[in-house]
Amino acid sequence: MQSVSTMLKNENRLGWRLVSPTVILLMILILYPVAYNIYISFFDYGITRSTFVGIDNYLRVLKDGAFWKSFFITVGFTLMTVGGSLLLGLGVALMLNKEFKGRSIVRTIVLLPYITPLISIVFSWQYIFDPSLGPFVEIFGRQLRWISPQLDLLNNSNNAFIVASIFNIWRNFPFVYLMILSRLQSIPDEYYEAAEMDGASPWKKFTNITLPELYFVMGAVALMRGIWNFYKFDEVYLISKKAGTLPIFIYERVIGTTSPEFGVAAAIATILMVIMLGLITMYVKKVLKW
Amino acid sequence: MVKRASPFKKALFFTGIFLICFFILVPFYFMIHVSLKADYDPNKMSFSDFTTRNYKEIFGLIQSSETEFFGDEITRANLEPVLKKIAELEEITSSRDAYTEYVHNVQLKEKEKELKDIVDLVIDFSGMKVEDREAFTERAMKNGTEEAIVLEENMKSIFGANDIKKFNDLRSEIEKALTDESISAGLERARSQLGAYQAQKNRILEEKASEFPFLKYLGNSLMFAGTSALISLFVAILGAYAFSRLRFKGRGTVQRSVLFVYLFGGTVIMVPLYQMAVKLGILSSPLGTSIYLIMVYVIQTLPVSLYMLGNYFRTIPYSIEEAAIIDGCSRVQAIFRIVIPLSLPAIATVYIYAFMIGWNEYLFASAFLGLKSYKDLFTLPIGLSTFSGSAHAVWGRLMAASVVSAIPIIIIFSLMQKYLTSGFTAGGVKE
Repeated sequence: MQSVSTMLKNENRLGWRLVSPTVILLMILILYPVAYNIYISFFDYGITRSTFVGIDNYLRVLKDGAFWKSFFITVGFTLMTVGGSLLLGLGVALMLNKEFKGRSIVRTIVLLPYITPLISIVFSWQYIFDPSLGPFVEIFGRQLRWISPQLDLLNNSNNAFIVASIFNIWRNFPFVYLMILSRLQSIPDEYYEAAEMDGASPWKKFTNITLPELYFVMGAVALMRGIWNFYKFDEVYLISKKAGTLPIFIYERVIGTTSPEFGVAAAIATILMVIMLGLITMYVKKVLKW
Repeated sequence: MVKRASPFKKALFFTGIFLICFFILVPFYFMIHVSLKADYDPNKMSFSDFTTRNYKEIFGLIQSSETEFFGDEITRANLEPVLKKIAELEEITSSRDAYTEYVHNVQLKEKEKELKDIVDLVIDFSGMKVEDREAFTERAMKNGTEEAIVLEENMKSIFGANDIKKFNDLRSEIEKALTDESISAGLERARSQLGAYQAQKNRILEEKASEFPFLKYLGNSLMFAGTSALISLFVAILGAYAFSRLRFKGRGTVQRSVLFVYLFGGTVIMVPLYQMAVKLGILSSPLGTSIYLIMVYVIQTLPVSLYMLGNYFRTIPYSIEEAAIIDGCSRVQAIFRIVIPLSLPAIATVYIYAFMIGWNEYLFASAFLGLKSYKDLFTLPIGLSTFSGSAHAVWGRLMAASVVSAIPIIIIFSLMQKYLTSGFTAGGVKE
């Protein structure tokens, strides 16, 4: 029979052996790059040159009007998408929590936007808003004349982020819906029955029972979506290359150019990271019970 | 609770349901609709009739060249300037004499004219008094003459240092233009230019002939997403077991850093990951690039796998394992003989999530594959988006490709809906 202390020691060793692949991968592909990113941000870093410039990159970025425009677009995009998908998700969850014929089909349909591969669905959206062929401009522009028939929503850097926001809401509200629905289903029916006996109106029941039960999950989802949407690249870039959020701003300075400015891009990435860290800390402190 | 609802309320409710379904399904409708139409005719701005041709096309069953869609015009328009340039370059690089003659007759004339323009400019702007302008200009263009010195003096007042340097360079170029050395170098340059143009011509012709390599993209996506999900799953099974069953020092720290990655984005580490790859020379070979990309996908999918598997392992009663260990099984054997067989549905679910992350990924694929343009390695997202940006983009084929790449995922999802939806709420998402 082994002694307790050797067993604990063995367990300790085995534990580390089992997590070592995870830890090694994390170190090489996350921790080191994050540190390296901060390091690069203090250099004037191009393809051939690298000279130490201190906080010059940060000053340059903070004085750059284009950066601030992009920053506010990103904040606007994040707020719009979080708010939009939260409201839509809540509404759909409340409706689909009621019994009706064909509910299971509708529940499957609602999940479609979220599970369809991104690349399969972006072209359809691009087609809808395409200025020459798309049905959106065809109906609202050429037939109803509510908008200008020449309106190009996708390739205009002033309003491309609106289409990107709508697309993002469309794609991500099912996630919010699922989270809220699973919480709704766990609210005991007795609460409502008791309220009914007291003669509460449906609205009263909603504000006094449903909403308080949902506060926590809604806050958690909002924060999570906020974090994800703040650095969202693929979904925005594939809809419109002109949407101009910060991740695209970084991408254009590194990949989409012949004279990449790694230092400046790294500085912007670091700023993005600091903001995200704030949100993540909030998430971990308020929401998470790992 | 609609049991006592009025008909009006009921109608309102179903209208709402209908509107939501409509809003969700509109893009899918256009995806299928356009994919079943023949290709867009640029002259008519419309689609022709219903056809399955787009599907045959992306599976390589039939192959229509660009000529069939657009006529010869696009190719011809692309090719014309290149061919002209090639003919020119071929003529002048045919022999050394021909090149010398070209330098003498064409290049030198051009440069002299440029220099003369500068001299004229200086005379006009500096307000110099010149009696015989022609003669002055001619002499001022030679280095070291009296006129040239006067000109240089005046130049200093209106030109910056860079412009003056350009002027001097141009002047010495003209003087040396007909020396042996300069002609050899020039000829060399012209020949390499010719090579570049010929390559461009071949590229245009090749592009014309090549079909839309959808199946290749599909295969690459399957390979990258499939492999990375498999590796991630293996690493995660070990890690999740340790998290859920073993007590060891630093467990909390490791778990927290995994969570950190779960919420952490790709954009933030794109610059350093790219720089690391460049520094290590990984991007210079297709194999190295593939492995690097797979490893980056593994780290992206790992947190989800760890989190979901860890949660699942906690629900398996420890007593089953304990019995096996008492019977002489080692801990590691217990993982493979007991824990894994018991959690197969969860493992399948996690695999699908990890697979989807790789399947949808665009940023790193475009950074690593796109920049060196390893076209043979393009995944679906980058392949389709490059195709959609090219002059050969055809809505019908794009949409057919979209439908084909969506169907397997949707089928898998509807078959496993129960497991997968509960996976979403258990943290099975990462973006």
